[in-house]
Amino acid sequence: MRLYIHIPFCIRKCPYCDFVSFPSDRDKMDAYLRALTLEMRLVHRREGGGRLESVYLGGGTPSLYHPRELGQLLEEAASLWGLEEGAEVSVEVNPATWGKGEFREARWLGFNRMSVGVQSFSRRALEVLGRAHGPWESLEAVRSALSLDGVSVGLDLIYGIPGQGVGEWAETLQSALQLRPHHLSLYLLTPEPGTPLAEEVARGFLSLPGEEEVVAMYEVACRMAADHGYRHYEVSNFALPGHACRHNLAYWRREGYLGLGVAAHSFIPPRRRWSNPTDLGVYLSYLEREKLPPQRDELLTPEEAREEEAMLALRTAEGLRRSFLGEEEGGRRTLGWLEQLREEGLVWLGEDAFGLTERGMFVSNAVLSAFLSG
Amino acid sequence: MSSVVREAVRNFCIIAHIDHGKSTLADRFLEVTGTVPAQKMSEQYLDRMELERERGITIKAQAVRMFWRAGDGVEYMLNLIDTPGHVDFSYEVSRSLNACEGAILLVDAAQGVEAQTVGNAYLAMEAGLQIIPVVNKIDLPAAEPEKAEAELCELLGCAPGEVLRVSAKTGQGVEELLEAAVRRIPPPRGDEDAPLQALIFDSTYDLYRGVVVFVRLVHGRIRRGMRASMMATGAVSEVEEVGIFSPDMVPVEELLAGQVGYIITGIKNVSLTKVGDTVTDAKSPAVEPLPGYREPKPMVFAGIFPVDADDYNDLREALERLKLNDASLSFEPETSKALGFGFRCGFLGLLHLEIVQERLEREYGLDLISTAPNVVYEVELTNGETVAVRNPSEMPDASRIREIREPYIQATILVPSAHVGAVMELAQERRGVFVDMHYRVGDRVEMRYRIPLAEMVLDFYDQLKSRTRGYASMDYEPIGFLPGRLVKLDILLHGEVVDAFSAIVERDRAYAYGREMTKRLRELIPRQLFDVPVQAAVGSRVIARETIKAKRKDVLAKCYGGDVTRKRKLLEKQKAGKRRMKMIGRVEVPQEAFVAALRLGREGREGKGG
Repeated sequence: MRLYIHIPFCIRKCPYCDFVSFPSDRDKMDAYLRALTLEMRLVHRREGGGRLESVYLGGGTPSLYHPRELGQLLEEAASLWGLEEGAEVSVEVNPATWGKGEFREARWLGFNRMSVGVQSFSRRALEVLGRAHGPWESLEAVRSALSLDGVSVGLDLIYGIPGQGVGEWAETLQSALQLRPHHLSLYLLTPEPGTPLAEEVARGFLSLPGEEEVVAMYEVACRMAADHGYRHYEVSNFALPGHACRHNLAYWRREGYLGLGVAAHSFIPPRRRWSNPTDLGVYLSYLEREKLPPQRDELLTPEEAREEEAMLALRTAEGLRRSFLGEEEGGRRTLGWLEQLREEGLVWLGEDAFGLTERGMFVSNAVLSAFLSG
Repeated sequence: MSSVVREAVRNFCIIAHIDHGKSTLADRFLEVTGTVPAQKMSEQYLDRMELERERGITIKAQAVRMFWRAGDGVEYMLNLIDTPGHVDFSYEVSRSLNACEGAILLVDAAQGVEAQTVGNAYLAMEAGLQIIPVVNKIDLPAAEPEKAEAELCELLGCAPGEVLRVSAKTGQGVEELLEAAVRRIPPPRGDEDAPLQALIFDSTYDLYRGVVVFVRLVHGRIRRGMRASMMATGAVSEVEEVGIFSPDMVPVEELLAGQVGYIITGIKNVSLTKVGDTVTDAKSPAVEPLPGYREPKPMVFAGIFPVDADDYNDLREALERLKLNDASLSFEPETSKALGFGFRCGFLGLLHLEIVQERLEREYGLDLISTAPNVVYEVELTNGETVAVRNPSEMPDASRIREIREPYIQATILVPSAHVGAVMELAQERRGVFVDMHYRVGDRVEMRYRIPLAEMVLDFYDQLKSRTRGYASMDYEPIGFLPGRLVKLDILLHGEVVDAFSAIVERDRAYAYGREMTKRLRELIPRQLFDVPVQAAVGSRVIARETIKAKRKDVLAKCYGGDVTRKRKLLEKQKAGKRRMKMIGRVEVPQEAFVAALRLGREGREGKGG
């Protein structure tokens, strides 16, 4: 089994973020920690599951908690499910939160993968993104993490930021690569409807780089990452050999996981998905009464499960199994179509699998929607 | 009722511009004559029927019979006959007018004489009708009856004393108007004992009763039980019912020469009871039909396709039902690579096309695409054979063509002399050939031009109206085929001809049209996963080219555990969007792009073709 624990608190809300998060109120955070512990027990009682292959603490900002507090969660999980030998235990860290000591303590408590939300090394870009940290704090945080033995360190970067050119982006990338982290997540900034960023763009106060610019940024990133030995293993993820995030790969491979905390999602293959309420008050009030909060259940149809498989697998360098296509007329037609896309350099076709090339990944929506509509 | 002697019959129509009060006046007639009691009189009785007719649930009252005891003590039978009002239907108008001896020319006291009034007034004069000029809406504060009166006198060449003033709304002057109608309009001529000759001036299909034929008897009599024969179509059937509108359908024993009414026969198809045909007695038929019959001939063709391929059968059924009611509509199945299965339909003109399409969409709930309308071309091949081409995509290969001939019309345009220049300019732009020009009553000029029907079909009439500020009126008749400098222009998407966009255009305009069309398609067709060339070609020669650049960014940056459902739903939405896409070779084209391009194509050829 795998565990995802959502920490919904933030120092401040970033203007581009549409994840569920709340201001960091100490009382609420304490109550939330108690609620999570309880939820873990209740979920374990209901769902059971084998030893944990990975645990992922994401957010929000998990590092608003002291490593000790997060360690308690990990300990509780380990005592309920048990930890697989060599399990991947990840935590997302905001550079404005932990110092060297906290990183070291986290390592000592069992966290062996740390993902630092650097976003950019450009002060200007960080301001546009409304981040609470500067480039210097990011460097410090990454260096602290990298100094630890047996820790896989990842950097999150964002590109396509208003006002950003290919040059500025290449500089940020260069700075990141010089640190030689094990993992890079490079996200294209997408104004999600309802966020302040989307609103400012819609009202013309901010303008995003154009398509050509953004495509150039993507290409620069792919090339620089490859030159430094990183494998592009998912649309937005790059890793040195052996350092791909196993927890995230499990999502794309449709393996099961349990999600704990506000708005957390769970999946039991092949068809069961459910999610927790997004309202913190509701979540807390149920657990204060020692009850699991009401969840939204979803039972996928076989067709939906199939769509998911394609949608997720085609995000990755592993690709989708060839047998997905089937032998009949429809499958042959789709194969013909894929062969045409191969000629365009968007698709690769292997013996057992097929998938998107780097160029293909950047138009994956278009490929997928065409692929799934046959 | 049939005891009324012919001398006491008056057949007339009302000619008026839209909104000048025709329906209100007709309502007032119904009320004043007691045809509809005042307490049952709802607002615009006849108009209400018209709306219902549009929805196909009631038979239209094309001719209402009323009785009126005039000042001379005689009870007159008044038949009020309705007329359609657009140039596409000018033949139908002329048939309706031929069923009358008189016309009330109604003009709004505030608006004065308008173009449509003029056009129809001339048609009425040419049909030899007695015209009664009337100024309406004299109760309005903005009314200028003297001015309207002067315009009428100038138009008709009558004395001011001949113009009547009424308010159809309040009823003021309406009885005087009926008196004038009785006095001035001559009774119908005709011989009740001669062989039957009845003019069909309209017919309609009723779901329950079959075809209802509207007739004006010129000679003879018609009664239930006799066998009637349609002289042009040869259809013979027993007369099951004879009747009048009062304003609802009321059966009567018989109709006599000079009277107007309806007959119902065993005929179940309006195409056998064509407007302009003559009904006679099958036993002792008239020697010859009434003059002026013209086979209704579709002039304009367009492909009509369901947006959703599943609606094909519904579309066929809807067309079949419309056809029952509309003899001039024709259709045959058509297959388009771009648009799928549909029908190539023939219409009298653009307005007719629009009416049919609107009825299909509104009454039958169909979502439709229609191709750019075109005329029929006569193509002489190098082997001497001549073929008719109703669909540009059927045009033979250029190497096999000796000559393409296109249909011409002769247009008769009536216009105040101040606008002669504008008409000449327009006619020239539309490849018109000047025939002649005469000065008519008042300040009017009659101009005649030969114009390719294709130009007419586009927007000639609308342009004529707009460039003469509404003052010109027009009638036209086909005069046959003349050779033209025409080419077939194809639009290619990624190397594949898109049949729906093929057009036959004048050689000199091919370049402009091709450039416009390719540019618009580039804008309308969403980018694909590869570069898509859009070309316009005449034969194998490409005359314009644009490229739809490949899409390079369309990606969800993040997709982790919590997002899976949301992202799948996004994808499903995109997928659903694809159902409305058509594949042209490898290129996905949204239905909307076809609709928009075809609409633009029409405008492009109209506005920018020259």
